[in-house]
Amino acid sequence: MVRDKDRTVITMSNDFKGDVRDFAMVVPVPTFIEREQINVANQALVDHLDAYTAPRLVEYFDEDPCSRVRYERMMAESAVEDSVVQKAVTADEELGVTIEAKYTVGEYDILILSAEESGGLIDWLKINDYQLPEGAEQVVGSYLKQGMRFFVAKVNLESQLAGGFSDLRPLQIAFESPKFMLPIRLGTLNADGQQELFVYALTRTGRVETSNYRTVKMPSDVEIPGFVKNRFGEFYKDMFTVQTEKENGKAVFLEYAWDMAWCDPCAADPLTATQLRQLGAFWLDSETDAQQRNRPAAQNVFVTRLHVRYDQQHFPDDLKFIETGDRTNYQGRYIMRHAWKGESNCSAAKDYLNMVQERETRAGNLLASLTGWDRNDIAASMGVSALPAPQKWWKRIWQDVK
Amino acid sequence: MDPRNYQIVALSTFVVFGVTVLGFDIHLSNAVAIIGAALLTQYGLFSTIPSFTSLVNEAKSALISALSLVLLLRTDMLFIAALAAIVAIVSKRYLRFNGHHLFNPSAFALVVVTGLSSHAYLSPGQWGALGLFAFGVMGIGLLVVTRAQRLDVSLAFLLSFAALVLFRGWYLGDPIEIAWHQLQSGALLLFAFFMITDPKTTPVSARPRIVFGVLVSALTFVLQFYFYVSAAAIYALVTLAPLVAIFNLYFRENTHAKNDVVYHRVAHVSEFQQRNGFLRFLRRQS
Repeated sequence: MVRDKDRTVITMSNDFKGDVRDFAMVVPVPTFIEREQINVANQALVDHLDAYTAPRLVEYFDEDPCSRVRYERMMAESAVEDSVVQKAVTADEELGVTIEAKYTVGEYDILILSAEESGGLIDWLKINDYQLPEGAEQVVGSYLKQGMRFFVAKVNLESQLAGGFSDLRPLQIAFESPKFMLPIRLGTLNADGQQELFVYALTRTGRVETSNYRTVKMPSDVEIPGFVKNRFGEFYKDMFTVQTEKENGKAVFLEYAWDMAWCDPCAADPLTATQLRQLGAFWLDSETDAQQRNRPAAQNVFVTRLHVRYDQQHFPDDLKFIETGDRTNYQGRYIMRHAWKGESNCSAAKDYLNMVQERETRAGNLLASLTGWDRNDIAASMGVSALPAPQKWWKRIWQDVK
Repeated sequence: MDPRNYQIVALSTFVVFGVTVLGFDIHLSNAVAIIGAALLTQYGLFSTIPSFTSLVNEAKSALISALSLVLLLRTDMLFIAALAAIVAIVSKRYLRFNGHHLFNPSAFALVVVTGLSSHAYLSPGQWGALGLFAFGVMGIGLLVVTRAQRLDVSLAFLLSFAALVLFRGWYLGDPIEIAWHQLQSGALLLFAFFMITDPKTTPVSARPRIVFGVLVSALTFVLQFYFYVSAAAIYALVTLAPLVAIFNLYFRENTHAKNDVVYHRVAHVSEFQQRNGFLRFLRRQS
């Protein structure tokens, strides 16, 4: 999602897995949408943005306590599970329903619909074989009364075959409206429980946050045991669940907020000006990549990655956003320190081993509290017999005195 | 007991609670800059006789504006934080009409600095949903305003805003949870109990004060739902502030009592007694 002043460009990417003939997407939009305002983007763009902003795993290898050689290695992994499945709704006729426009863009057939009443629109959608979730009429009616139109997209099989696209590419819409929000109410009607949504916001001024729900930073810069390396996805998912519960299921989480010009450490290269413009960052239009390469700093794009797990009970209202003036960099960064395994026979080695043991216990305990994983399982995975619980602070006070 | 003491304690509590529990991005340096600039400006502009009493008195007044700013203003520039505090105090000294300052100092400063720079912003969503926290606000807030005798304007604002939001929900056919969610805003309650209640910037007599509360809620509603302004209440309050001066001119029955807090209290309390059993009940409680 790109936002600057009243201008918005939304790129919608789905992980729809079924038969494309069953695919349809219904999105409430605040204004009429012309053909030129719609585009089909390349999925690689979204994937690149996703990789760039993903939570990262950082590994540090301890030096030999007896020498001074040191090296560092870093890797980042995307911890992304399923993104939103915009289960959709489909359409086709008249019942007080106005088809304001009909376009074919790429592999999609697109309709812009408005209606006098929700009942008409619902009937029309049903007649046209769109499967509507229970309770859709109420939500559709509310959006219509708020002056919104419906953007309905279906896959055009002929264009899809002709174009040779196997996956559904992301659809983009550009429009101008003071509304800075994402309509999630139709999505919450789907009975299949909670949905995951990732929002990547590109702005000129600063970080984006929700104005009607709390936006909370994920725990970051924490040290976790080395074995998590192979279970990073699982680790992140469980930590996300624990954090969501901590906020009573009512918070949006900040996973990344960074100036697009650089990154440290980089999970993927920053996007180029061309890529950013393709995603909708319209203010970059005066610069070519070559110019940008000569002047590598300051892309003038700030990226925010938000992650929310939502359902109707915890998120009754749509997500409303504000662009803040905050340009503080934030990233989800998880550190693992690998102990020195070589031979060390100096006096420093003993202290070092004690330090390592203490450090690993701390990391194991932190892992248990972040993810809710079983302490015995963690101990087993760490290759230790048991994970001592953190000592009460007062136990240490007179320890040395006795 | 000076009601401002309660206000200072309550606002400080919110700052501490916000930083420790809710993770507000309030930088210590900003807080120091705001409080420092507010105190210096206050002493520079208002203090005449350097007695201990007058120093404490000026400090209290400046602290209330400063703490509101610490709580509400977010910025990454120290200069803007200090500027907001200076604007607040200067507006109190120079934007006056008929013996009262026109604008609520912190609301005015917030509108000015957020208008001047994109580096200044408000973060209204961070209070999260109501829960225990809001009961805390309500409890402490109620205490503060009953001492300050301005509960009527808070209630007028809150009840009419709630009525408007519920009506909108009903008109749109939305489930009640949505309206409820929209009303469960810590920022809204904070405004109702700590901003609109400022005795210097609300009408002197009770009836126009209630009218004022209702008008501010109506404008807040319009700005929030039709112009998509976040933190709309603050903008509504500043926009409608000149009305207070007009109301005070037209409803003169109590204006001769201005600057006489004790008399004020008696004057509008007697009005409640005539008109409103509920408020009379509240008066008894306090």
